[in-house]
Amino acid sequence: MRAAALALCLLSCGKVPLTPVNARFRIADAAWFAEESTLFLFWEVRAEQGLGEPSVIEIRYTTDDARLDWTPVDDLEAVHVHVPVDCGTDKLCGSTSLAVPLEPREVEIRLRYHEDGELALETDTAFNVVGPGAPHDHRSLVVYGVFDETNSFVQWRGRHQFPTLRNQTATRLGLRRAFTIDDTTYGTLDSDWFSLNPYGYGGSCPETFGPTEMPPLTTLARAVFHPDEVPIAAAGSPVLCASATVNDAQGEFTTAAVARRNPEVASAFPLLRSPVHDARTIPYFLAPCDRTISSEHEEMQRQRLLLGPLPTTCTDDWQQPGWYESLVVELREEVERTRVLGDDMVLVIGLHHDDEALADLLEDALDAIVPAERHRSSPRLAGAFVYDSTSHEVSLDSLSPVALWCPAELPLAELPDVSARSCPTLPDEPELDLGPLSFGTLPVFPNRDEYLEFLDDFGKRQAGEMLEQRFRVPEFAATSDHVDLGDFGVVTFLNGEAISSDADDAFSFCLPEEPAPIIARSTLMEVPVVRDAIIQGCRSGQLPPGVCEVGRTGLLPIEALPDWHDLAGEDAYELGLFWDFPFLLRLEYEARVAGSVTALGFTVPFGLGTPTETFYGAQTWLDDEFSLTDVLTQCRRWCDHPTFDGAGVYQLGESFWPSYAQRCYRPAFPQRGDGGFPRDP
Amino acid sequence: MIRRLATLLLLAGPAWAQEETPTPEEVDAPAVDVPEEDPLSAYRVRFDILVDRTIGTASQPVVFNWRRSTVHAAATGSFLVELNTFNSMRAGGMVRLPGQRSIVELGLSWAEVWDSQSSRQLAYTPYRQPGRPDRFDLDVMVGLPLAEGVVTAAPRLFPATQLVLNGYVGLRYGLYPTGWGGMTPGQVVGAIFNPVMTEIELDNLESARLDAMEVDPQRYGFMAGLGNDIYFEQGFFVSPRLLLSLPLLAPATQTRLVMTADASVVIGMAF
Repeated sequence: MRAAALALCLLSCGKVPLTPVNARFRIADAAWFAEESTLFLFWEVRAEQGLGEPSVIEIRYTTDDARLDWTPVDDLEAVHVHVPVDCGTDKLCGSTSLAVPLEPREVEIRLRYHEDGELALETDTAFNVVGPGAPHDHRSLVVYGVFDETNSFVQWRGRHQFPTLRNQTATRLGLRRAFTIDDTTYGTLDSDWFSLNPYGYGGSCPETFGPTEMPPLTTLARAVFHPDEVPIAAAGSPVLCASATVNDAQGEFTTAAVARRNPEVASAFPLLRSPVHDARTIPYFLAPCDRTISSEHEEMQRQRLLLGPLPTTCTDDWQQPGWYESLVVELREEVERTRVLGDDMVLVIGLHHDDEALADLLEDALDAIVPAERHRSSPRLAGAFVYDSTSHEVSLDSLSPVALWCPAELPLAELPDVSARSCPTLPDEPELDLGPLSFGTLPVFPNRDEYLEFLDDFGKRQAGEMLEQRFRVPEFAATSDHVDLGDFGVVTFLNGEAISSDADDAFSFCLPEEPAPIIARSTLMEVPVVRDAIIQGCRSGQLPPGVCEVGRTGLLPIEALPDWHDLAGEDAYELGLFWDFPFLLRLEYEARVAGSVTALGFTVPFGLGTPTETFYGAQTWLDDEFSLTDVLTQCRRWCDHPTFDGAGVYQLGESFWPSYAQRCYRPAFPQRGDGGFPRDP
Repeated sequence: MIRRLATLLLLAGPAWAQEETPTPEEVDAPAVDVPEEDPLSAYRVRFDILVDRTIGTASQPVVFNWRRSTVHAAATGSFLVELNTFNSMRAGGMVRLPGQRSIVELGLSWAEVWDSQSSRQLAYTPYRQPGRPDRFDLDVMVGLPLAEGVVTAAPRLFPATQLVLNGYVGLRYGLYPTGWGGMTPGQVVGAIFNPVMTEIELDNLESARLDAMEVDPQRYGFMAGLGNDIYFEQGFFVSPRLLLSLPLLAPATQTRLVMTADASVVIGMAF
């Protein structure tokens, strides 16, 4: 015990050690500007234990006529304002600016650990000399202007330019520069003004510019909004030009500063509206009247189609001459009788049979009626829905785009493409057997064999129930124009919706989360010579892929509109809607997970029902309007001006066109009251 | 913990050793007349010896019965002997709650820290030394009476007093007034129970530390020591004591300041 106590004491009773602070310079930069006769110094020191107030930064330099030995920076008079900076507890940072008329050399910065001590941390100072030259790249501050979102208030900004430090770093290290804006004028500058001088700083404002009479403005911040709105007389001018005055060791320096308007951008076509209504159904139930195939199956088919006590159209004589013709006449006359009610229509047919040839005959009958109505204006017969007794696939190419035939046996590879236009009998819904328990589900539109087998296993009560079915159909105006793309679908130009544009406009396409089924066309796209030229251009790889679509179809995917307009510069583009099926069948039914327990020779079925909603057909008709607000934007003026990105940074090298042709344009403009130190790396 | 407590109590060994060692009377006492075959003969002790052993508990106070007092109020002052180059003193108040077998002490003191000549010199160098800035110390201690009795004071001008030798164990909790600045209530609650000060607290204390000081992150530590309570008949008492901060919690508190000695004097009144 005593030994343990002695050991504890030996381990713990020693004096507390000293630990090095491990101070090191992260920034020790100096730059001398000949045009300003000013030496700027910046420093940032980091230490593990922190540096206290007694720690001081000292500098020294030599010129041809003087030598400054190590001197604390606080003892030297600064040319500009340098605010105290709190960089954190483990850092010491700051800046200063000294009037040095002659070019200095041997400029050095060091840290004295304590103002009364002798020990100091020295470092290699990064020293640059900026010689005489143009103001925009030979002075330490550039002044420029930007506009708010409305393009009616101007914000004047200063931007530090140092060889080794970024603008925001200089601010962070405490440098503040005062500048004054006066004599603001407005007018137009050609692009040469900005070719080598992107901020347009320097020189003098053209005498042709008109005065704005805006009062002078002075600030110590890096950015300040002028409190007055730009006068209405200058509203159409792309540029404001003003006299910007800054001070340095030589005195005041005045030159021109320029503010360019933001690109004038708006949604090209905010909303494409296509009214979608519930179609009026024309129901039929075709079945033999003189014999019974399966009463349970017929009852289920009627329930699934919600036909109720609808009289049966007898098919006993379907092989007799004239039966087919009478069916066509009957259907056609019923369509015409229903048309007078003014609604779009859908034929809903239950087909109860045991001869596949009857299904083929019904296909022929529908083919004689439905496809012809496809491109008519409302009220029209939009399509047909057939619930067959057996799995059947539509064989007529002209009928398949307008008829939904259920159930269907489809190869697995085709399921993703066409399953929405048929009711596939999925092979991957086997029964699940767990000892005496077995589970199974029934598709909403089963064929007869499936249904009867299900009845044997689980009973009629577990077969589910149709609750509601609605056929959603678009309303086509009398002026609608349809362009048939064959197996791909149809593009309908609904009611003359079009975008107006000028040749110098620019567009931006932003890929939406849900692909927009919007197509554009123009006069030039329909000219055969132009289409041939496009085909040739695409073969040689000279044109963007989206534009190449024009050569094949005369239509343009909306995502290619920015590139097309840059090529063609047309004055109008008509917008159409692409669709691949004429209606949307929306079903609400009670789906049941059926189960049964078998024990001692007895089987007890049970089930769990859940309300389910299913869609067949084209989901395009789920909505009756398509928002293009954020998808397609159009720049009407000043499209080649720089603009802001989503982070609020004024991107000098990114004008609306071509930077945003295929990018989302989501600028974050400066706002009045959002502070004097914008993000400007 | 138990071993360390036992180590402490070893220091008080003489108080109990006297009970274990036979007294001269015990040695010289004639043997009890018992039959040789009596199996309990090795455990038999004469009545007068038993009385002598228990006299301390059978008739305890003579001058002042501190166990029957309700509460003690006292002022404290102490000098901290830390193993670094900084100077520290404490002053504050204390409330003592007596019990039959122990006395519980709750104290609050202000610890003032200032530079020594050495630490001023150290500040001129790129080195720092662990230390603690000015703070409040919250003490929760338990005193265990190890020996007590009536003693005669010198000079004889003073009346006889009641002397109690206590062993002390407890926790000392450091409260830094600026440490919680800028913290949310949730962060403060979390920090209260954290044995180590958070980065925010350490940053806040940068302005409070001495130039050569690296703030020690410990929030609370374990103290143990010895002290005497000297009670006068009227209830006035003086209690000099010496406590040590033992490194029992050092792995959790990451402190490098251990074995700090706290030489203190407590002066107060029992009610």
